[in-house]
Amino acid sequence: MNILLDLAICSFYVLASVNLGAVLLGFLKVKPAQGHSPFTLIATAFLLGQVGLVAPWTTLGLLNTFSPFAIRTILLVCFFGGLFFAWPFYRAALSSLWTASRILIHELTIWKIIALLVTSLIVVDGLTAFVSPPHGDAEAFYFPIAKVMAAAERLVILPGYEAFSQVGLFGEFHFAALISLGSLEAAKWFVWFTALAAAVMLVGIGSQIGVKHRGQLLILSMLFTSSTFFYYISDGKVDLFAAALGLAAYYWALQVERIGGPFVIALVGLFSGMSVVAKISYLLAVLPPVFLLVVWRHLVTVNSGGTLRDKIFSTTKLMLSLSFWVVLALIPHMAKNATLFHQPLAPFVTSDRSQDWLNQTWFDAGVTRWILLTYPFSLVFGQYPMQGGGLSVLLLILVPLTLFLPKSPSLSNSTSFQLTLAAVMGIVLWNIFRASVFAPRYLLATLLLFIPPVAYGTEAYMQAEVKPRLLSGIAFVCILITLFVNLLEMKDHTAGVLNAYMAKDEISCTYSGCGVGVWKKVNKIAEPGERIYMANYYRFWLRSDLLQCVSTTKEREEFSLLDSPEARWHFIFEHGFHFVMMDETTHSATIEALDLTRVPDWLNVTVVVEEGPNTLLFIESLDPSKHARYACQQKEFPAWGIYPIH
Amino acid sequence: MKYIPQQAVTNKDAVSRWLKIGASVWMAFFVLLSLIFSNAVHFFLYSLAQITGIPGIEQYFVQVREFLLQFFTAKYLF
Repeated sequence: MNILLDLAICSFYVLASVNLGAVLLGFLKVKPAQGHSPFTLIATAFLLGQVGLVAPWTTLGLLNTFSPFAIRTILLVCFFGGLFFAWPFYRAALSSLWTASRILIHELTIWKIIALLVTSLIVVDGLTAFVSPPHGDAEAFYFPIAKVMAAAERLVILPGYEAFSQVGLFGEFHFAALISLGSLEAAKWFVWFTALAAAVMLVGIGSQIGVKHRGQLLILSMLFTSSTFFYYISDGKVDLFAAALGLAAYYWALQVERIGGPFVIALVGLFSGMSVVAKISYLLAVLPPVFLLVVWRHLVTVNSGGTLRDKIFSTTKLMLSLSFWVVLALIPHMAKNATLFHQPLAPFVTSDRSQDWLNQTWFDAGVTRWILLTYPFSLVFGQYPMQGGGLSVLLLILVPLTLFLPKSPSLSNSTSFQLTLAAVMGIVLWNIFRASVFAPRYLLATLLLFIPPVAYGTEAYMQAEVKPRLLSGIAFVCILITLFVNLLEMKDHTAGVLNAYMAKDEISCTYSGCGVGVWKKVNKIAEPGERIYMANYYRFWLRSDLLQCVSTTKEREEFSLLDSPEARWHFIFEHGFHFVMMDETTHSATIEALDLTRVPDWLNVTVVVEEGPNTLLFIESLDPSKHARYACQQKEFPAWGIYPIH
Repeated sequence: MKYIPQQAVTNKDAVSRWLKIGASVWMAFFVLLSLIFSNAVHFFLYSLAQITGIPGIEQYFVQVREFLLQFFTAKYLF
């Protein structure tokens, strides 16, 4: 696909989201002149537009009409229909950008260098997001389900991941829409824009506690050197959608008492509800802290007057109002699970026993205790399995500078203190219920709340320090080293990915063990709708018809109950599989169970291709009297499904 | 911007002087730790070892890194 076309598709989708969000902000009576930064308003509009688009995408998906034509029509309506509402936001943002540039031009050289390094990190992240193929979990579920939705033009249960398909789909819908418009690269790049929106919301939160331009640069420095943030800009997972929505919820939670009115609470509810849809863990890590912030700031505001009864009444009304908007945000998700699984409250409340994946334990008690005892260092330096990165070391380095800040006359009124306590609450709640699941991305929006106060303290200290500015000098050296080293590490990774991108054809996975040759072969020789038994997690590179016809969880469970290789081969043939895809690194038990020396005489199994740990087998019957009992057919065009053969 | 008392940022106050010394040591320690764990620095030292022909630099660095890393991977528990 043409690079310029990919860029254009993504940009169009982004602008359509912003314009739709601007319309919704207009309905909610949120205006540019209410003391918000124009960038914060554009980021809010962008995220609100994403929230708004999920509703029609869910509807189209459930009605089996998620077609390119319908998607294009809705986006065009959003783009042109919202342009009038969005235009003031764009104009204000351009003016603000010009002002910020002029401020930077007159800044000290050291701050210009910091700005240059941060900008370079952001640009490299964007490039990597565009050129990197989906990786890891994104290859297993997030992009395959999007690819299948785009091809089948409907909401689907991904074969092999039926239970996991009950999770809230947010980022996946946007991926599916962009893939449907014809561009995988646009879908990948869209995450970068969402990451930028998250960055803007975090800077906006900083502004609420008094951070100025230098502090904003510090916020961006800490954010874009947090590996648990920048890893997910380019790998294709959906964690950053949740993080951006969670940060937007926190930002608008700080506005409820400042601006007032019933519609700001709508923003808080929609963003926090959708953040839970986008990432289930936010039910513990974000939703309660958001409620805490809203209620706390309300109580501080009403403290000066009114009876206790009035306060209880107003607080209850506020919580009910917030809960209403949270539930409203959950409706598309509930509709999806009600239709596909007959379990509207899944995966939280379900009669399906296969939801054990929700009750995860990653480490034993000893390791979990050690992780907790080494907080917050484990959050920064930890390299535990499945951790997925950590927070920036700059958070630890700069935190002592907050000790120089004078004590607030009233802690309960201090926004910094409120945010910090809300963040601690989220972390405590997560560790009460899931302490051994140590992955900062599961509570990312909450963890990032520590950044603004540290940036504020650092900026305030640097502003006030008199000569000799030794401590400021040390802080600058640490900031520059951290930024520079991060840039070096990312540059190498990006260069490698870029080379692979330029050389690619239809398969662009770049890590060793991916099995490029295996995917190319099966895509080339498999007839439309032929079934593949997957002893492999990562399946994104399959053709979209083949993806819809792979082995289901039920078939794998039935397979595991069989007690001989002959019975297993018979099972595979009977269920209509023509191929077996094996990954030795993840499915060695299955490979052993399929003993190639004990294939029934009437079955011919040949090794088509082997590449590293990946092997593709072809299966055909030598006995004309033997027939498969299942086949994958396109009975509901364009979707493929598995049906019994009569 | 919140006002930071002048004495907090000069060396005239004993508490803030010790706080500044402590903060400096803290900052230096953690930036050093991050450099030790950094792949870029590891590669730099490897290159340095290749150029100078002194393999000990990288070896020593790897030993220090492995020792420190066990505290952040709980490997010492196994």
